[in-house]
Amino acid sequence: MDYEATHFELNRPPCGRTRREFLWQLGGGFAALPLIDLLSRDGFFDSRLRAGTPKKDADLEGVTGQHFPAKAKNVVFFFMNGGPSQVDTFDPKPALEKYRGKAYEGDIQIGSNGRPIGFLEPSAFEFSREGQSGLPISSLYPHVSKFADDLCVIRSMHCDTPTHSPGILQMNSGSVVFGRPSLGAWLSYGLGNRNDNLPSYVVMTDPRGGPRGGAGAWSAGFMPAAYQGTLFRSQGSPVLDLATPKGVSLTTQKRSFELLERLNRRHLKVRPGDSELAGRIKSYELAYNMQTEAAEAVDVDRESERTKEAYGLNNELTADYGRKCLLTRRLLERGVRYVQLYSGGGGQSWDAHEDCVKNHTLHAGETDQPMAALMQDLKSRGLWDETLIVWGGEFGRTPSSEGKGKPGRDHNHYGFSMWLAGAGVKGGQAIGATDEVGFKAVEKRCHVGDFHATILHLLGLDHERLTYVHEGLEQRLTGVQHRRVFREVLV
Amino acid sequence: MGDDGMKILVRKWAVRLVVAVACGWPVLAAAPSDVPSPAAVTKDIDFVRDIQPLLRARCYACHSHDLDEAELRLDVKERAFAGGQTGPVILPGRSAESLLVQLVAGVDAAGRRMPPEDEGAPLSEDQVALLRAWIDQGAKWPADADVVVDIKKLGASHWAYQPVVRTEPPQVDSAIWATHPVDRFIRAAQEDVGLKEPAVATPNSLVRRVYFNLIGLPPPPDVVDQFASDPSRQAYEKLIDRLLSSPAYGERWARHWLDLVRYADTNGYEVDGEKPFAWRYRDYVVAAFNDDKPYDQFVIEQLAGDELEGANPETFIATGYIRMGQWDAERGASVQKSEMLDERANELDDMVSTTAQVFLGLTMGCARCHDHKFDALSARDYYSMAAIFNALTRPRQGRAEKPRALGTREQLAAKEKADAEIATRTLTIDDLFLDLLNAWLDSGKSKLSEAIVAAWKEPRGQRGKRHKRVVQDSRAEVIAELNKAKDIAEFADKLSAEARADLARLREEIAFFKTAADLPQGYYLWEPSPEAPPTHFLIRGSSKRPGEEVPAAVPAVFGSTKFLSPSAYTSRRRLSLARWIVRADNPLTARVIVNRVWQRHYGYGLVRSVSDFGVRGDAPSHPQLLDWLSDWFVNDGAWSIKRLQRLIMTSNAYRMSKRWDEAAYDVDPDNRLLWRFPYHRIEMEAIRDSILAVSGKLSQKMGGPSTYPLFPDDAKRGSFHFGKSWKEFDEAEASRRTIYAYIKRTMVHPMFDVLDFCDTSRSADRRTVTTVAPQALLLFNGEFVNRQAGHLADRLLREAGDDPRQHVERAYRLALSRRPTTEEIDDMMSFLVNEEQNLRGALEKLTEDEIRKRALAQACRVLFNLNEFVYTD
Repeated sequence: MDYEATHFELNRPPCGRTRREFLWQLGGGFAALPLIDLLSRDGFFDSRLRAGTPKKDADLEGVTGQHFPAKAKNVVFFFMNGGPSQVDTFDPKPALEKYRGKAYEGDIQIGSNGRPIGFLEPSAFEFSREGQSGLPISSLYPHVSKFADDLCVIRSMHCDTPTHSPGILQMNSGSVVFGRPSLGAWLSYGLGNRNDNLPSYVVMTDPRGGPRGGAGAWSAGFMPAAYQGTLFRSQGSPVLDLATPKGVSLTTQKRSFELLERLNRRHLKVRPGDSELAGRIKSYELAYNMQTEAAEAVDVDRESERTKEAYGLNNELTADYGRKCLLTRRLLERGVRYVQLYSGGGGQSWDAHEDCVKNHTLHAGETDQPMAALMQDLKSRGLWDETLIVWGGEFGRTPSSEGKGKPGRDHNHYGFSMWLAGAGVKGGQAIGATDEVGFKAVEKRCHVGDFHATILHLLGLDHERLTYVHEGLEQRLTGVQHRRVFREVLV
Repeated sequence: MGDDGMKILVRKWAVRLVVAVACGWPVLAAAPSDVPSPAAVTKDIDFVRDIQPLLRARCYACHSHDLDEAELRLDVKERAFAGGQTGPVILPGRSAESLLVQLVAGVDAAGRRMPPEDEGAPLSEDQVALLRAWIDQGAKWPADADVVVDIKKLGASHWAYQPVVRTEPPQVDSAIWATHPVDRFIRAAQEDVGLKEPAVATPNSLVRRVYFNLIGLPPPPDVVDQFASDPSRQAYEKLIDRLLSSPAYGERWARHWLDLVRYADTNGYEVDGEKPFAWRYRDYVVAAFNDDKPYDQFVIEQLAGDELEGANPETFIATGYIRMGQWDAERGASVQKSEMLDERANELDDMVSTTAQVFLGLTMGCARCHDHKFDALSARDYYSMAAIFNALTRPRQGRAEKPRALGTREQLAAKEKADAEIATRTLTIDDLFLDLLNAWLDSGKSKLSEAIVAAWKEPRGQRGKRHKRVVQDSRAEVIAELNKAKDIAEFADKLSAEARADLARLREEIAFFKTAADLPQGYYLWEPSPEAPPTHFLIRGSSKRPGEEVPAAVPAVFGSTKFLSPSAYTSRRRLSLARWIVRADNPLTARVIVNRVWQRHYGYGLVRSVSDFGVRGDAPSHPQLLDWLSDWFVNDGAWSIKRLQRLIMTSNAYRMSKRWDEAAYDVDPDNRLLWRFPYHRIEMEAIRDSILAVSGKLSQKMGGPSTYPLFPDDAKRGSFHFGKSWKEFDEAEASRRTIYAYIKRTMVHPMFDVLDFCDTSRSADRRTVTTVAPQALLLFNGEFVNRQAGHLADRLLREAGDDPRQHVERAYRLALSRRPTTEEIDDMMSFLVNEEQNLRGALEKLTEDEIRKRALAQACRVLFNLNEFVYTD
């Protein structure tokens, strides 16, 4: 016999690697990290996690934890895929009226990749001052307007590329090239997962397709795959392979899991010192629990008619995004840390080259009521104070049309708007400014890297200290350039 | 205080500063009390504590090492005090007059500011005050405080940059560890710390280990029996030799290489277009391993196969290595110059970083924006490496990569000639057709679009770019139309007899040339001219800020290397690099590959950071063993990977058991001294291939275009293209080995994704092993495993008689290479009985045969999910 049964001391660190490395290898995204504690605390299988309740901060197994106290624990990112126009949404430019039909006379090349160059074109949408703060918001957002005093609009955003795929990558991962971890991955890595039976980082794409570049936008890059975003379906079985296979009864499923566990435990008994084996046994137990937990989490039908109505589930236009928003609330309640909801995808996105009026009316119409409903719901359920809301796309659009008098607008990475709201954010204000016509950010310019630094700060993370060693370098979400936290955003 | 408030204060203070300077007054004394920041000067300034970090954070990006913007360097004392183009910038004792202070405070008379606006925010008031205080206190800069990485010093001291030295293997006490050189190194280190002799693995464990390690599949039951009955050294060596010469070996080991070279079938990003003929490179690697191509040749062919004198299809395909990185076609084909340049810089970065990591174990990518912070690699080294690849062009049409012919230089030249001949003749035919075409068009019977008609009607010499393209693209369509015309009697006489004869002749000639030009298609980057374009240093890695031109060179720490002069075809820069890499005295190449091979046998390298042999990498656990093997590999092994593997695998060390040893653990918890064989989950490919092998469905077909495993629709939702390019499921094709599966960068198959397949965006030197619930879901509930469990049940019923106990026994032998214990048989039997009962009571009426099969399939699913199935002993 090759092996002799030797007493396996459970309180030892796992063999062959440091505790830190072990944690990394187990991965933090999905039902994994707490394992080590369970293993060393009281044997492998006695402690069952209670489903449904997020863990306390003290029990989390993030690699860094918060660097300083902060209110925000979760992020909801409304990603307006394709690039919404700032001068039609949150950055009013009355001066465009006087330049209507005139050529842009700034010092930079206008337009992307050889599209027709047009002339300055005022917004077709009315702006009005909303809330006590008087924050100007366009008529595209009648519902979100009611939260004007909560919004902090940054009008001076800029990024490095006018091309969609690298732009989407940069907005998510800080870099225009593939292979770097996205914001959600950094959060899962830094702060850990709050519910073992659910992923900590959830992505919901548009039914018309994913963003350009696909899964790169929620990739874990050079970190273990477990930190990457998990695609969630808003209906039916939310996660791939969650459902028991066709033709397999629940009894069979249960009995099969039990048989597997029995055989695996016997195998483990004569192989002491191999916590990976124990970890794998635990992962099956968690998978079994998840089948119930995750299915329950996405069961939107349990919500009241009033709630469904509020989110716009009964209206064809808003039903899809509404369902995603409602699902987001249910996920946040269960400890999911980062939810990203794409508006637009495949061939139909905010990329309004042809007709910005029609396009933005459609996409804002699809999202306005659901976003407002979610914000209201978070407020009434006490989640508002721990949730950071982010709105925006990969870049903005030009204040000029594509071709004379045409209603389309081209890509614009020189200046655009994004907004933040919720935990730790000082609402009712607009920060920074674009030039007179809304083309280029000129005051308090905010690079995507500054934006990320600010978001991390709101979550209690120092963007210069949240690092991961790869290819010999301590990598950061915000890269090597100097980036700053926009303190004006903070309460 | 908000940003605005801060600015106002600084400005106020700055104005006073200017006034003060103008009056020649000691500025600090003059600063009024309502300006808070200069008050900081009262404290004692320590250069290393207070100033250097500030300079590093805010100035070194442009003023250190090679980055001496305006000839100013602030990292070395001597240079800092010497100043820049306009003279000294630090005047000890006189901060207000020091240009450095004026620039960072934004009070420079010429309106300059440092750092420049796009390089970040201005220095804070406190920071300026600190600088001033330091200067006013005499600008003390301790002699040993310079922060440059001393390349020469590191070059002379870091272990990996020293020549390989072969030492005699040490003597050991233990007799059975005294014969094999590897064992002597391993055992000696163990004896040094008093570790007892490791046990040897059982024959069952060993045969399974060797199978998974060499071919990635479980051993067939009869092989296990045979080896168990004769586990002699001879039998063991025969087993290794047999597996090394099995084609399945190449399919297993090529995958390790593909991880390193970021292999994928598509380019990534928005377009994520197919890399034409990527699979030819994959097949090249499989064949290279199977044929045991000497490693030095393997390196040269991949880096410079097109530059060799005897360049041929195989060596052209080998350079597929260079093109395997991502390519953002949207930016690369952009008409916006900045986008194109930026993409080009990223492509070069991919080639430089990958090459340095894969072949040399250097993290060169770190030097893209600035000199390596810790290693002997400068930004200049980086751009000199970029210059080596910069001569390469990507053949493309718009956003699609355009295949190129494969052949010898002569064949390619002949093809070029033939293509030209075909082109002239095609044009003549077009002219001949023009009359006919006009008549046809006038007849109103034409179905050709207006755009096509307009383009064709334009006389040939006058056609613009667009019309030319239309004519080219519509030729087939037009000819089809004209063929219709020919068949209609009224048009037949539109062509004269002479014209007809011409036409026939031309067609014949074209057919002839086509045969001459008929070469297989492939894809490779190529150098359009032997003269390489200039390569510029990019300041801070920004394509918008080109600096001076740099020559092609290898990193300076390795001394200078003479580059070959250009041939008639190419610059031969890559060939020069490749030859330098495989020079016997290159200190890194052999060490790096030997360590990689070791890693794939043991799970860890002797140097655990297998792609980082630099200053920040891990030190080797057995430096003398690594050197001994490296020297042996080059001089005795003639760069043969298989011989190296045979050497490693015939050691005692490789055959040791995984037995846990409490005492050894206390001495060496990381198992650096190999007191037991390390545990590792087999990789995703081995898991999938093994399941197929056990179910009996694994296809033996090798090579060719990639296959498409069933892709669940649900998992396509994240894709921009909705997975449109994913071909329909064909089970026989999809049952080929996993190395043949299509890798689409923006839509990775969920099985790959969940089971820790490598990230294909960069070189991947090992698979991370995560253990998470989605893996359990995939393997327990997923389509693939359930389908294969059904196949295995069929196989058992077919092959193992009627007795359920026999089914269980056979399943264990196939899947786990051993017989089940009595306990296991009991567990399985009671599971089967329960299942069958359960199924008999189900609503759905099933035959007894179906019931047996379904119950058995459930048991097989459990087997595929066992830890023992994916962790070998």
